[in-house]
Amino acid sequence: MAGFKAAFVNESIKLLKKKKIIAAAVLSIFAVLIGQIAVTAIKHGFGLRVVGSTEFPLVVLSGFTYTILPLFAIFVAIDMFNGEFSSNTMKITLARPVSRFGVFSAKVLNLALFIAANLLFVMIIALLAGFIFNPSSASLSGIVSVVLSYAATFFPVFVFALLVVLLSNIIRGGLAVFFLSIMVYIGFNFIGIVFSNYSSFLMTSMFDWYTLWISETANVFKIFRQILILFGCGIMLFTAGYYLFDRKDV
Amino acid sequence: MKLSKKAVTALSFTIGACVFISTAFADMALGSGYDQLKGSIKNTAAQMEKGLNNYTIETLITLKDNGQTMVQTSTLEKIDNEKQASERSTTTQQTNGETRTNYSYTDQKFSVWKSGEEDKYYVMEYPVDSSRENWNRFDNPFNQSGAAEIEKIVDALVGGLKDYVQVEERPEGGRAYSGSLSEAQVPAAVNAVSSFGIKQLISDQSRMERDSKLPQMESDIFVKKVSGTAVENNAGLLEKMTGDVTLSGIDKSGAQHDITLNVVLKLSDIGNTQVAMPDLTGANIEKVSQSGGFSSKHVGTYQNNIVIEKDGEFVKIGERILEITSVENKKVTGKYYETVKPGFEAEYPNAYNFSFEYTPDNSNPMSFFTYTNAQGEQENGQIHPNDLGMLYLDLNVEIMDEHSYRSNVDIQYFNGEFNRVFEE
Amino acid sequence: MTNKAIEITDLAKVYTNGRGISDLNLVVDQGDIFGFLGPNGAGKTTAMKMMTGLMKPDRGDVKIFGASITEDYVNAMKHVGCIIETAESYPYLTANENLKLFARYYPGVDQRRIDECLQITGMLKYKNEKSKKFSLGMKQRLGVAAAILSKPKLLILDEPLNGLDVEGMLDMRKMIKRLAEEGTTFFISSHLIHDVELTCTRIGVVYGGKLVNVEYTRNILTNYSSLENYFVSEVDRNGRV
Repeated sequence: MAGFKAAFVNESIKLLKKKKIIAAAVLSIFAVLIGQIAVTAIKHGFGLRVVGSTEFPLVVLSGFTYTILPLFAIFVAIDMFNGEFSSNTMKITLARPVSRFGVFSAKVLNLALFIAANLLFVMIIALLAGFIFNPSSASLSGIVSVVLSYAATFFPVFVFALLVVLLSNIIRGGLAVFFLSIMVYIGFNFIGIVFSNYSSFLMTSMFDWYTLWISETANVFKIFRQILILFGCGIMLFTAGYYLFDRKDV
Repeated sequence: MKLSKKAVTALSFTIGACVFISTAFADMALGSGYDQLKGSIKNTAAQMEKGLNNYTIETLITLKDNGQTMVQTSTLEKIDNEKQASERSTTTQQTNGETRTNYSYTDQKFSVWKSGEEDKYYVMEYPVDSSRENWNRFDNPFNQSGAAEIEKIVDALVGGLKDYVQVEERPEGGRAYSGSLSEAQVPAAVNAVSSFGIKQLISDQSRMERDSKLPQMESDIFVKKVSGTAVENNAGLLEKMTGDVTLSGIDKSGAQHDITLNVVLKLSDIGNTQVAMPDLTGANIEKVSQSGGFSSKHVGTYQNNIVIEKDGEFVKIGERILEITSVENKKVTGKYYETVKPGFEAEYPNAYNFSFEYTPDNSNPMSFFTYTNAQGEQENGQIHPNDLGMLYLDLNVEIMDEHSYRSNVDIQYFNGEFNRVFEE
Repeated sequence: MTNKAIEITDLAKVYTNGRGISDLNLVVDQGDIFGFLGPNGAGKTTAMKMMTGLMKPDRGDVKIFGASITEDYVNAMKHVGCIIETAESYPYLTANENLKLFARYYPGVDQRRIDECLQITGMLKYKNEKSKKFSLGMKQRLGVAAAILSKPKLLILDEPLNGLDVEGMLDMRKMIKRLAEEGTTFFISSHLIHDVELTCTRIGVVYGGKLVNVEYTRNILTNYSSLENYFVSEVDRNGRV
């Protein structure tokens, strides 16, 4: 795809130059630290071993997936679209020999890369913290399941980010998109809990689907269905987002 | 190629939407194994309450420490919904090796129970008119008030674990459910709360039994494994459920313990269960009377002092007298009056004086008698005997609704306690 | 075909408020310095946004060196450099980093070419400064540097003198002349009549959303004393209609 590579590299550079990346990294480290402090406190206070060294990253993941990760995914998505439109810099990318599809997919791919990198970063710190604080309970199979869990978590979060991308191409104001995304996020989680029948339709209810992946008796059909749901939903959202992006007048 | 850009977009969206919506609907329709199991449990509970004529439930609860049985309780319960009768025997093996057996039988007319090693049956006969329709019934827990809310909360807590329940169709019909969680899959919060709960439970248990052999776990306590199975027959009833929870931890001496709680529930002999009253001929029997606690031995006079505080001293200004004149056919008749010493009438103006007929119903705490107070108004009252030959009197009871009432007596230094006056 | 740099046919875009541009038909030949002259709000920027694909036309098409902007955007834009409406850059990047981003889209644009462009626009001394600190004129110069980076065959410049001081204007005019001599085609919009008269070889007048007339500058100047007179008479003629 002509110009895609350039657009992709450029988006990465732009992302890296922003302060949000540092904020995300710092908050991620904080999240891991707080988790470790809590675990240590419970261990010494109540004598409970809430987590072994390889379970610790999973505990961190279960908190991180629902808070910092989607929040920063929203930030980055809004920055990529609403931010560039409102600061008038979108046109200097668009008026280059690159198709709108190229620009759109470069941006979305970078969003994906951001989510993946954030997950990878947290996973490494959490694994390290786990080894340092509970060296006795480390195991290779544990590490494998941690890696698998973090990898699996990427997909539902990415699909949620695609939803934010769609929103940021529907609505002009970045702030409005931000609040709408947060409301949608809370709403989805609420519906997922209260009307759990409908959770099949909500990508947020799959944020913890990594538990399926690391189950001793993997529920293959359920995982397969969830993959199809995420895949279908992802394609739908990506296409809808692209359609709006392509029609946009700058 | 360029012509189809719009078409490609539309096609891609349609394919995505189709895959998404159809799979999500399929997923929703299939439900999780958890939802199916829940449906099965609900159905079974509803059938047990109403629908099944008779059945047997066996329960076996075992607590093991590193594979060695610590406590075991087995219960065999036979329920006959048609005859409104049930039989229940429980055997418990304590940590110290002692075994206790309890037996009970209940139907419309009789309750029989035998406890432990005591070679004696206690028999209670109920009056024909007493309202005992609901006594033998199995109560469907899902119909109780608040059950729907609790169900929602449990659903939310189970959350992503729902899909750990695997379902298999059995070749002979019905379904088999199974599920297991290892340490990593038990959510940290659940792990912490349940570990803490079980830890407390064990320490409570060992405090109650001095020679308990249960290990006192000190550190590194965690839920190691949770597993369960359930078998549904082709009538949609759960025939067998098992559950295992293994808790791991280290005790004071540094030894590793795996404590396993194992629960087995079995539903069997549906339609073939015979509930029979034990043969009491020649057995050691003690009859237990029952009429809200009242019997003819309560006939007599009871007294309570009327006391006020005056000039920094307690002064007795009179007496409350409660006379039980007869207890016949569950009917208690008597008189209640208050005498005030001359000169103190102003301190205690509205003295009661009435007679009453009271038919207490011990299955219903809302049984009252009515009387007329000094102002000529109708009020409600209640009398309870206690084991020590005292009576408690509640006057001016306000009935709030069909399940609650409130005593409105606000007389100083009156606790409603009446002592028997014995003539000597 | 190759001598047509821009071919606009029946181009139209009307906003909901009735403004915009319609029935735009125009051919710009290779080597022209085309001046797009009109008052504010006449539809110049709208037309240029459609020419660079930033806006989708209601109807009509633009071909740049034979490649349609609506159907073959990438090829159409390969040889175009542009500044539309305002010269923008990423404020959190330095001048050099900004240009490096744009360079990636074109084969053969290296650091030497970036430095060359910075030199041409007089921005070399601000090479490593973040563009958020730049004045309007400096941003304009950086925008020009970005536009000429790939040595495009066609430069579409919307009000290129915006924010420039006198020295900047002179530099700009000089640069346009030099690049035109090298064979670059220009499409320049402006509302500054005098400036257009000095730079452009061919002039199109836009008024009220319509292209009123297209004429070579030398022809205009033979018939009218100045471009200003021509413009006024054209506007008058159309205002009356």
